[in-house]
Amino acid sequence: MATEQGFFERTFGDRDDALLTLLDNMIWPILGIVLIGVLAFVPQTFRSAQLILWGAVPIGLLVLAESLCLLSGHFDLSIGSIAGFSAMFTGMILGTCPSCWALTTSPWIGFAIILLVGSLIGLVNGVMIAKVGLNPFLQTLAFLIIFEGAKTAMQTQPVTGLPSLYTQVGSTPWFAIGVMLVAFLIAGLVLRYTSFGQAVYALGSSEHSAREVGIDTERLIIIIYTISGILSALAGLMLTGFVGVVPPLIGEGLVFQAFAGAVIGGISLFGGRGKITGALGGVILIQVIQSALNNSPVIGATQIQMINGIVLLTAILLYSTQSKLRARILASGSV
Amino acid sequence: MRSSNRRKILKSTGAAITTISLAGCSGNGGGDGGDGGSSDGGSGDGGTTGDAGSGGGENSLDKIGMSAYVRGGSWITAYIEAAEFYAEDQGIELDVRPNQQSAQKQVSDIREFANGDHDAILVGVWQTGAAEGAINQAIEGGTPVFATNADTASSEIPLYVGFSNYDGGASSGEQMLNALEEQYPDKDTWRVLNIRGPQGNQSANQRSQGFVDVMAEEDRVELVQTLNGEFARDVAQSTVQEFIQANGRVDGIYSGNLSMGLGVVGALRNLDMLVERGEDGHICLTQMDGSPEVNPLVGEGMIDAAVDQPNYFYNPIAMYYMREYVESGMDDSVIPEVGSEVTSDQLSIEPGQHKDVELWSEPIWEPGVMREQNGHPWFRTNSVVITQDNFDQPFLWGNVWG
Repeated sequence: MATEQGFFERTFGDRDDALLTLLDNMIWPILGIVLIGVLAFVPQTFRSAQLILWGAVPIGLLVLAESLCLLSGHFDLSIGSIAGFSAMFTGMILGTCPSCWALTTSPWIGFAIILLVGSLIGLVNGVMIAKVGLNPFLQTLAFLIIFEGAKTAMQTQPVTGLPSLYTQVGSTPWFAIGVMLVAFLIAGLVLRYTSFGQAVYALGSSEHSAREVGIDTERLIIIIYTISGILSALAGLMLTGFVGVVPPLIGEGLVFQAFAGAVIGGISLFGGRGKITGALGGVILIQVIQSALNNSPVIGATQIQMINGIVLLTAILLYSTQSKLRARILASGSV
Repeated sequence: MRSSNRRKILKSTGAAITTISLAGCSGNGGGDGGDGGSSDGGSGDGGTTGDAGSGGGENSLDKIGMSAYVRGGSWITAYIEAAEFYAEDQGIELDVRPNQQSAQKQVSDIREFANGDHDAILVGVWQTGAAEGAINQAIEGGTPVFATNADTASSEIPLYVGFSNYDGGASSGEQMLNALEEQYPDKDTWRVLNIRGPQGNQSANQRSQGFVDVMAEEDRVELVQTLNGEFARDVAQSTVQEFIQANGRVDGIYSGNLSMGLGVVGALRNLDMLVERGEDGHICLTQMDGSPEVNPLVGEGMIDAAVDQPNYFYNPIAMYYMREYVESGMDDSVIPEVGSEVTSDQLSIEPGQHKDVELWSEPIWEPGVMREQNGHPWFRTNSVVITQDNFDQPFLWGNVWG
């Protein structure tokens, strides 16, 4: 009864609703606890808050790309390769190093090319999966290998002599951070308030049901992978700016970090569940922990990878518990 | 200790197996009049010490299989291309296969080389112990395997050519102390940062340890932290940036490879702390490896010193001894004895015109000190310290492969 409701109920409505909301946004309390812990034990970490966020930009964009694919019930193993290949290909066109092609020095053409290359690779991924019917794992694994190899075949040395405006995009900290935040904001708004966003969730929940309600799933899959390719290329651009050149190993090994960020942020590996804002929280959490470990005098360099793995496992266990709690609350029938 | 007797037994067994195999093969099909390298068809004596035929294989070095890390970076490009140039000059066919950072792929390649028509194999192993079985099998089958740059755990190989990662790290440490003394003579304590490569990587461990041991001997040095830069430029850059922002300035930073060294320069540039040596606020930087990007930074005084490897000599030196070894019927005595020192008077790598320079004209590898490692001989090349005095010299690989 309303008159017997306490402050909690009056504020949040039904208790189960509040619990579900809390469960859906679990990354933020976790991040809060971690931040308090870091503040207590490695306070100097926060002196480099801007640098932490700046360093998070490339991986953040890849997490966003991966999250979009995961929400739709798919995944993309080739995001790191797309980032690396598109950055290297564009670098070869723009660069002035002896082995570069040096076809143009226009940064604007560079921006267009890098995004075009990323979108084309993503488009092919989408077409192969949606139209040809290839398994997403196998298709994107093949592209991971192909484009990592193509990058090496194209150039094995750092690409230098890039136009300053081209690198400034990623080398200007607040601008780069802004690009990442805007990308997350746009993705979040689109997924929450547009029919496209609802279709992505529907596709992730059940492709069959999505088709039944009239969603053109093939077209949707192609669009999702194309966006993933564009975001990956944008990550490549940011990585180029961050380093100032295109290093030969650019983009390699980032796909695993991207998966980790998405999962820690609460994006379900099975599709249809999770929030883009959660993925952003996952990115920040990973970067803060990484920075705190680096700054901690107690933790040795050789222990960091192990601790990162423990963090990931803890997150997976938490989300496993979350799923059980959610199921229990929903089964109680009060929602 | 070298197990010469055991090796001879293995070689004899290998030769016998090879002979039996060849005999078996020759029974099939009778040859199609092919263009292969078989000498005189028929049932020749087939052993490894028979008369040299017209096309090769017997006691001549015509074809080498090479398995190495080919994933990118100017350093590895120089290492591989120098092997290709030297092989071309010597009339040797070189079949290079990238190991794709996979020990399994490397093992497969070594086995294919051994089962094919390669006279010898060059390996730059991806993991010290991983390819040991395949290497031993190849040697047992009569195909000699030489290692360069990264050593193998196999005690059976005739020779490993490479510099000492530990000594390189130690040399970087000595350069760091010189730079700190010059830059901050009145300071009681020098705060130094160590940027190392991936855990579990032998080179990374040795380069870090060599540096740390030298630092430990100097009372004025406080080794503030060892950070893992993963041998990657972007990782080193972000890690160092965050560390300095959080923990304040340091007086010196050592990087375990060229990518991390450039990452450190990028970090200091972003923090407005990149100042040339001799100026107020200069942070002393030493590192392993020169490169087309590193050398000019040394010249400008941003990097105090870089300990460089004679990487474009590794494979030519190995091939020089490989040829002697194969042509002598795999006689161990052609390999310099452990404990001896080799100079350019005893070993002359023939210069060749490549990359617009007279490559190998300056024997920067000397003296080569013969040591033993993993039960086999190790031709330990010298290293070169790049400073403002020599940063633009044509004998530095970074100035050739720019």
